[in-house]
Amino acid sequence: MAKITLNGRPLETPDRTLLIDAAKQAGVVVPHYCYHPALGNPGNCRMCLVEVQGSPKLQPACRLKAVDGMVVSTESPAVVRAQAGELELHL
Amino acid sequence: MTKIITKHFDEPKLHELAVYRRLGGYEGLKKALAMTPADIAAEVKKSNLRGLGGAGFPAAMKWGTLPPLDKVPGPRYVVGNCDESEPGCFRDRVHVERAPHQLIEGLLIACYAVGAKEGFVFIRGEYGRQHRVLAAAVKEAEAAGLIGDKILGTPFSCRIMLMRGGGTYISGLDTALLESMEGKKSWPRQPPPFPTNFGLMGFPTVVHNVATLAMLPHIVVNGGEWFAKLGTAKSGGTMLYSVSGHVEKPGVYEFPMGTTLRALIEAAGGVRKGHALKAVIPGGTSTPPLGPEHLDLALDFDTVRAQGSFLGAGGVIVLDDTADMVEACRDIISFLTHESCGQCTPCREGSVWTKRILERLLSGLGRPEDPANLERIADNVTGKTICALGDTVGIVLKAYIKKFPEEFKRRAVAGARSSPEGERPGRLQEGRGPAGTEARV
Repeated sequence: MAKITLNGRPLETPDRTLLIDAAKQAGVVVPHYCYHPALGNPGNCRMCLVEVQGSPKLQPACRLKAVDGMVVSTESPAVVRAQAGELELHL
Repeated sequence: MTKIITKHFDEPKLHELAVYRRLGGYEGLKKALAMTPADIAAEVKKSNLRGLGGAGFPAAMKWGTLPPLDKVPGPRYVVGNCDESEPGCFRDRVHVERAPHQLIEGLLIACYAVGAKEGFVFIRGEYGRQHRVLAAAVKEAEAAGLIGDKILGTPFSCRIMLMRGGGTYISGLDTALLESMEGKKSWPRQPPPFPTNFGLMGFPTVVHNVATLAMLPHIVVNGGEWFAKLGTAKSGGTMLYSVSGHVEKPGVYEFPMGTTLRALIEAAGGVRKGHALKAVIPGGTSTPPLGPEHLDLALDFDTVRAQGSFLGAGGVIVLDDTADMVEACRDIISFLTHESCGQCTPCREGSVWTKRILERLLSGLGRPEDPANLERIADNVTGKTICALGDTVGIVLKAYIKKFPEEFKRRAVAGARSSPEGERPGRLQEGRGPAGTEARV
């Protein structure tokens, strides 16, 4: 099991779970277009970008696997700006 | 002044094996095969050899990320990247054509040092002549027992295969190059894992620019310390520059790390007679332009980084007072739009959108909000994409707007004509855009 921190709250999830699925487990929705469990996670729509402590760039939640000690935010100002920006580029 | 890669370039037959050997060629390989791979890695570490293809990543550090052979036995590979496609860069095609054996020797040394039995050189498809010259050199080396089984009487066996690219810029990126080698479209992968752990066909692979590989024989022969001393504290050896643009003598120039921009431009004959220096792109069009205030900057990977740009692949483009920086920006963004692989939304959409805005600015259809909008879109692209091509879109836009704000402001007004100095205005005609797109832009 991996113990991570999601939006300031502790979350335990099976090791190597995709962050986007771990978040869903905790009832946190991460917007996404190109990911579906049955179709794969190409990570190219860039809607699911989240903040991971220690990474200078935002990371796609559908690509990153949960690892013990990860600190993730899906609602920081940088993430919210990114979501608006990426949606604009989609539209 | 010490030259390494171009040292014997006044010898017209340097590409022939006998001539190359007469000038000391393959002594590096001979010496390397008598050393242990660990000792070779130690020399490369001492040398401060940085990757010369654009990222400047320390070569020894890259080798250090390979999994140990006892933990992950099985094939591993070295790939020489000759996909030189960054506008402003043409030095690899020159040294590969003039001294193909130097590259072969460097590739063999790298293979031996990392435990690879197969080396590859990926050459951009457009470099047909360079491919033929390199192929002929490989044949010569095979016939002489320098490639193949039990090289120079040692247990080391190694094959070299050449592959030609399909014509994209993005296949110069290491993971995209590997995809292309595997017969797939050159869509960059998303590390982790990195190529040294999961590379060609999933095996540990070291990808190096061909100039980086060409330095290895000299590091082995003369020692890492010699190489390090030629350069600066953290960038060892020399840099191979392609100098072009508004200079009297464009061409390929080799200078030690730490040489000033002024010295480099002077060696290339200086700015065109009767003109003043306006800007210098230091490392290929992906890199932010420097200005006359940077002439005394001692060029190495870290000093240029500190000035907000990148030494990159040393594609130095000199621009004088006749240059229109909005046009330059449009030309670069146009290139990136064309070369975007299309995989991820911000790069695919952001590049073409900003290109259209730049075309409007150059066609007298500019709007006051355009420069700020370009910067806003840039922020939504850089740092949000799968690979560095996307990052470059934003980096270039912001760099040109920041350094030449007046040129952008002047055009952000309806009816503004292209400046008198510009030779190629925008491609949108007043009142008409390309079939119905004008209103959306």
